Amino acid sequence: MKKRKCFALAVTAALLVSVAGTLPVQAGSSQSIIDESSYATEINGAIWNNMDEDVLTKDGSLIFPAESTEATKLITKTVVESNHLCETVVKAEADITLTALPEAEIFAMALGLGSTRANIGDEGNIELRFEHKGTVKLSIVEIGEDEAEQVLLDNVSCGSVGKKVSVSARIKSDNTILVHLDGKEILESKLTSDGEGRVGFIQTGNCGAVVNNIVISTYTYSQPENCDMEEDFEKGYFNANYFQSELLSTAVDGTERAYIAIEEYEGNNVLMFRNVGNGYFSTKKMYSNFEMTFDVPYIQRTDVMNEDGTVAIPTSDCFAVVVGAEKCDTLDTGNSSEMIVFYSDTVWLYFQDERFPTTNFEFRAPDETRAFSVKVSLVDSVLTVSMKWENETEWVVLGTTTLEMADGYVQIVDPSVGALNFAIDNFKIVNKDLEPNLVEVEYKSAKLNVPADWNYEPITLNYEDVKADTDDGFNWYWLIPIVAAGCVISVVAAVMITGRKKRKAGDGHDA
Amino acid sequence: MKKNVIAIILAGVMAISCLTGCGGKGDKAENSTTNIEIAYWNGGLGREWLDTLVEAFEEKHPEYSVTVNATASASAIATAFGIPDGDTTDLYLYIQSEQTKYMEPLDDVLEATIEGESKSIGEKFQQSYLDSQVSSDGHYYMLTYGGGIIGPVYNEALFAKAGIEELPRTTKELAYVCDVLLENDIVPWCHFAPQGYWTWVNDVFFAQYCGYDYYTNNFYAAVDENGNSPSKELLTNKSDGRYATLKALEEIVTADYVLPASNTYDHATMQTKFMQGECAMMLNGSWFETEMSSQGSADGFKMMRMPVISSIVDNMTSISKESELTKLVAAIDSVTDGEKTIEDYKQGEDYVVDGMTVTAADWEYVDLARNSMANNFSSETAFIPSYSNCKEGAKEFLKFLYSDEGYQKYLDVLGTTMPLNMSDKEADYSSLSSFGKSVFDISNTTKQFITMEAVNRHVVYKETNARSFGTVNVIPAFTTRNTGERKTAEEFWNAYVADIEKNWDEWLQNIK
Repeated sequence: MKKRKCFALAVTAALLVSVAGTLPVQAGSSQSIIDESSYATEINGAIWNNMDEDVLTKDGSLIFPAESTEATKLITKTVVESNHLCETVVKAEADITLTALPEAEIFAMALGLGSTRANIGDEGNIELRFEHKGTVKLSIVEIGEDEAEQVLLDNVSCGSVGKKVSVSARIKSDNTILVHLDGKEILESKLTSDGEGRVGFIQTGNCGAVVNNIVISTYTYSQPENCDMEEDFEKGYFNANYFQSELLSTAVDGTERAYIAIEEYEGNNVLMFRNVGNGYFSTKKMYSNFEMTFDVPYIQRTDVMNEDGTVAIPTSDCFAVVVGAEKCDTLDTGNSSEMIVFYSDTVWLYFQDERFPTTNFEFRAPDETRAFSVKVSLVDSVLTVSMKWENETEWVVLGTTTLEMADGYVQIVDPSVGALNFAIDNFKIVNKDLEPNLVEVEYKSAKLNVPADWNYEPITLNYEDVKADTDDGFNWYWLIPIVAAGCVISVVAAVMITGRKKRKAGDGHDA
Repeated sequence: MKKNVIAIILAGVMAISCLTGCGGKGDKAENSTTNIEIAYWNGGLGREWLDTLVEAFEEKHPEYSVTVNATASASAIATAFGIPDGDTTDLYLYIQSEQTKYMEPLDDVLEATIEGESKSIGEKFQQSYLDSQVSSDGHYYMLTYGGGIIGPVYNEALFAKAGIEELPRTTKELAYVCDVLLENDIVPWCHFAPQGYWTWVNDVFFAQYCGYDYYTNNFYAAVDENGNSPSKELLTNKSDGRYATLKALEEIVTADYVLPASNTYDHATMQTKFMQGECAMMLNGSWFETEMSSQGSADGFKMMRMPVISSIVDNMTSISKESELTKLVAAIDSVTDGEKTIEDYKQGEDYVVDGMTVTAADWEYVDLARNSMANNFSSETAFIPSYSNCKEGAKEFLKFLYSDEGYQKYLDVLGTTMPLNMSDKEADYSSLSSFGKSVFDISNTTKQFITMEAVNRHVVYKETNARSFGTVNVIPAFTTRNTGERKTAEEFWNAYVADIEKNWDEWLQNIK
């Protein structure tokens, strides 16, 4: 699948290309293109359903053999969905050369297909039908309920079998269909349906065709449910329905206790990352288009030493912003997300391996004292990273790039095991979707309710309930009566032996 | 006085001697020739089945007693194995091990016929399972006591909601089922990081395509068609079925089809999501029900037979199309399920299915493919140290486990199967849940148990990174949400071949 960038003069922003599917939805506004790359060497089974595996590829063309059956068809797996925020729902173009077209048979490029096994005449289809009626004729038919056919255009001459024709069909979000044949518009009409569904090449059987230069463009706009959030941490606790944070591991260095917690810093409450090895602060809603800002009032720029020469608080390691995270309950740097790592001299998009220099923003310089702020925005796959020093009003854009990202959570993380010692404040995230799908989120304090104290109670061990766990079967509780019996026996025996000896002694024998 | 003291002491000794013998059953003197010491890795099956069998065995064999030392730590269970002076274990219930030089052959266990039964234990075991267990010296040293079959487990309610009335018979039908599920807003699949149980199932598709004989005697014996062994050309052979498997996976496991975060969450989390109805299917094993019992009942979940890889028609002479293949599989299923007999389809040397003539060879090829299942019986394996001083006792215990009586008790407690049939009767599995019954039905009709971990596979697969599909996980490559990282089957294969070309010489050095 070839990716192309194209920029529209819409209110929103540039439209950029990505592979679309029904799940997961690509963030922001996106155009997906299915073209020759999906069948150039082999038919890509993730994109096309080649039902009987009898559609072949050769020299960059799709070959429908003359011995085709009704099952000889090629239909996209992608389901086109209409969205009023996108002017075009789908556009399908192809060059078609019919090599065999018996009378009474139909070969069609079709849109709005309801299944990967759709047939000619199925309800919901919008078919550009090629039929042999003396010469090859093109008709455009919409199939409605109960398979009732509405002919939108009838019998446009396309020449003879063997002649290549170029067809293009575009369905707009207002249900208008525009069809071009060899570059000339032949139809503009209203459909009764919205054109949602699959695109494909289907037939009634026995039709041979060579199809190439396929371009199928679909347009989507993702609007996940979320909310605009602001958090200044002044309550002492954040909203646990908005955010989640967790210390996953302590830093290798640093004797100070490690934590991620709200505490006072220079008169304000901040979220402090102290000696964090791995950890995160994450939104609990997914975002498509967004703008996020936060202040960094504190970052440890030199080691703080203990009296004994060990390091209490190491110089802070880099921090990172993760976008498109699949999970909010852990540090998610899986291969679906992007991690924007803030070093002192560069900002590094880790997976895309792209860097923006941070000239004039060497925020970890040992002699630097200023606080600073970070802004990350992602709108229609355009990522922009900006920074500013405290008390400045203008953001400085460090870099802009294309970032094709599915909707995901946004996180601030420590990406490495080096100690992160910094604090954030005034975290803000704003939904930048067209027609944001905002929801109300109840407040739930992130405060942990710790019981006053553990209620110690003496344990009662009921010996009768204790079963021997070993197979040797020896029951130790027998020991007491056995020893007692042994003692009694030994005393009795001793008395008897002693008594007998006394009697013998009395009889004149030695003891 | 002195004599009085002596008398008291003697009496005390006499009393203390009463302490011995006051306790439970049997003579449990350490390492005795009549005490069978079992080291059991409690990896998920629990204790109940073993305790049940031990109790029944001791009753049947009063000449023996059994001591069970169980631990959930796989690394702890066999630390003494191979150290005759330090190891008192007589029977390990553990995982497959390469240390057969310390193991007692179990041939006589397989040759034994239990009193009252007409088949030997070896005859009761599935032959394809035994084929995977025979060592290069021709002996059997390990036999399973657990694990299970692995296949697609599906949520009946979600299938019904999507209107899916017939289970998929081929991989193309499986892809279609995924489409139908999506159309009904149901996520088709989930798996756990990195690729769930697909590693096991991928080899089934491979074996379906190439045939069991090639799979076992060529690929995993590392012998190519010219007799060269080990053969790099064997591993890089694109037409043996592994590329066809990748193409099938490309269709049935796409980014659209899998639950987000499948590539990152652990198996407990994803299995819980599956049980909670977040998706319709998940590859899982016989143990699914037992393993997830704390999360709820497996009622409403069933395992389906492995769909046949659609491109198997490449190797057929009488059928060439998907529509023909599905008809043939349906016919085979009707015989497997007892709805029809094979004679209903036979016509001379061939078979006729819905007007379509199928050669006997094609029927058999697809029959074996359809009735193949992945298994990991090797992950729960019994073996006896050759230096055990209670070998015969340990063997008797194994014989009891594999007897009809013992196996029925095993089934009753665990609800899961071994690759074992009863001697003269059907096992009573009426007490199993619907999930357990589906697993039992499939296991009972499985003709080929497919495993990547055959004891006798070539050393290149044991001691190097040579694998049927390489060391890079296929499923994350196909399903990553990061479109820049996503691979096609062709890209994955090319990378796999490049890896072999790069490492082959080093692997050869490592196994010399």
